[in-house]
Amino acid sequence: MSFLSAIRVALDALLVHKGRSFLTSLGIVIGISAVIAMVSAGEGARLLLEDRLSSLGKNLILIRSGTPVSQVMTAGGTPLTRDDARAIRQRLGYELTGVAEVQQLQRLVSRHALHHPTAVTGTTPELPPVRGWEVQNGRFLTDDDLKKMADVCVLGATLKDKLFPNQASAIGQTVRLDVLELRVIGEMVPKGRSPLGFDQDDQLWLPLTTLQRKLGGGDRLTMIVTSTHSAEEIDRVKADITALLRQQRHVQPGNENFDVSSVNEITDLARTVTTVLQLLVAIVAGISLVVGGIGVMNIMLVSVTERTREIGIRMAVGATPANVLSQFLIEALALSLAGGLIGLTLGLAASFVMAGFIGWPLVISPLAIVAACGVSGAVGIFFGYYPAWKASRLEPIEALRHE
Amino acid sequence: MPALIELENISKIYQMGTLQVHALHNVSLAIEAGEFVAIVGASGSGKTTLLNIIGCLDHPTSGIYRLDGQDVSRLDRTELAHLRNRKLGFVFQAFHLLPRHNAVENVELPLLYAGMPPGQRRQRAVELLKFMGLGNYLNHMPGELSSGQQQRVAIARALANQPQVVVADEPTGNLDSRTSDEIYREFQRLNRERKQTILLATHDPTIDRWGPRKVTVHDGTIVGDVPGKAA
Repeated sequence: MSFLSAIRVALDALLVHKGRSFLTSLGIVIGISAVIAMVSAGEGARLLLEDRLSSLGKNLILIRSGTPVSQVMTAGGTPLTRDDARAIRQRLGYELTGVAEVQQLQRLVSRHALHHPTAVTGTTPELPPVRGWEVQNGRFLTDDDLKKMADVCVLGATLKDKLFPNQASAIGQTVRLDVLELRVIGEMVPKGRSPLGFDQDDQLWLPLTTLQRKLGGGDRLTMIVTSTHSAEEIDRVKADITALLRQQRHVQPGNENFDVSSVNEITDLARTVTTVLQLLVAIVAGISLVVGGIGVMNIMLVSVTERTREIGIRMAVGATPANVLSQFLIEALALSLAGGLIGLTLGLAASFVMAGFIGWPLVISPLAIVAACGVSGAVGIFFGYYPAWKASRLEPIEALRHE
Repeated sequence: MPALIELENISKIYQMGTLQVHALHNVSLAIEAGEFVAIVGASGSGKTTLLNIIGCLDHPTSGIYRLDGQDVSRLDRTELAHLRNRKLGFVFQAFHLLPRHNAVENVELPLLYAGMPPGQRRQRAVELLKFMGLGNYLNHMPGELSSGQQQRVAIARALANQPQVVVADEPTGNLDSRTSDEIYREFQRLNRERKQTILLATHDPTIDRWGPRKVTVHDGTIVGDVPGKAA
């Protein structure tokens, strides 16, 4: 019997029970669509995360005061000061791209009748090189601005749009911050959101000295930010900074009242979380495929029992065991492949919808598509083999007598 | 030249729990090509078992069965399937047509397993159905046909691969007497016009009218063998 005839025979048998065939494939449909959608979601989330992490700056090292209580939080401790930053700059400057001091407040910034609450960051000139940020228009803060405690500021893209809607540039104009009139000297290239969802472009930068002296920010620094030239140096530099600050602040190892952490640690943590999530999804999808496969096996066993007499008739007129085996195997394969194709379609549709709603990039992995087809086929063959084998082992005379 | 069908001391024992049932006991029988043979006997006499063994649907417990000179007991399941496909044609009491396939598709079934291409298959099936007088019922489903018509479809199916033997187990058992006569007449016609070897089992006493060789089975042994009347 030709292969094409065998496929015809198998498909005819499936179409007799359309509803049942559909319900049987449903397990595979759900399994495959889950795999496709979740692989796409996982990749999309990962890309989005990578994008946000890279926006923080490469090889970034954050130094904060207090005792670390988690990878992103600290509590208590003696504040960091400009002296700490100065020590790092003097002693370790050779292995750093720069050292930037940061003091951050939340303030209302206004221009005429427009008011906008924003992150006000007092900082030093080395912040852009350290974080890999670039100036779009004008210039960033200079040492001269700091020395003079100049009333100048640099705007993030979001803040600029809020205060100067429909204006190509805000440079030379002024904004009001508490008692100060600040002249806009620069605008930054947009950086997007941070991994924690904070809009890094909704920000105003001004000389650290202006913030500390004229706005009453005090000596306390929120953090010191620095970065290394390459990722391999991070651990060594972190150790150097830690040793230096221990000496500077007179603390024993283990009792640090400051925390030195790198963004790479956060990145690693985030990667671990996404990997674990993807693994979980893979397990769930795998289970649903196995359950779907058992559904196929179950219905094929029912089908073999129901059609025992048909098998007997076919054997009586000359069907070989191999003919019967292939007929039922093709039926199982067709069931699960059809399920796989429907699942693939639904999964792709779901990926598309998710990408649209959540806003991560739409990633369609060709590998996932090939794997989905391969896996559904394999499930069909694996779970269809036993019922098909059972059918092929029937004795013709007993099969014919079956009621 | 050896006979087409040769049975030597064939026995069949069914194991029913601890009880052994001797369905056939040392049966020897030879049937020549072109013969029309009726196996007669009461139900339970063993005639169906005998027919199933000759039709390669069942295996004897002991004894030798040669079909067309070939020792059937040495064949595996696949070779037996080929034998049933090419050399044997079955007609059953319960017709055993595939209910979801029309007359042509049912007749095509043995041709399908013989590997005949679809076009040829259909042509041959149509020819056979016409020969059986069913030219107007080619696309009817079994459920849309009378029992006599269904049995004619089954006979057409049995003839599909031009078998050496047509084996019919109580082919008229589910038919009224008028339809039975029509079916017997078909078998007689096949035997006379096509020299088709026919082996049928029946407990119909009127079988004599159609002139077959009559082999009588009783309690698993052959108790009578009356030569057929020449046409």
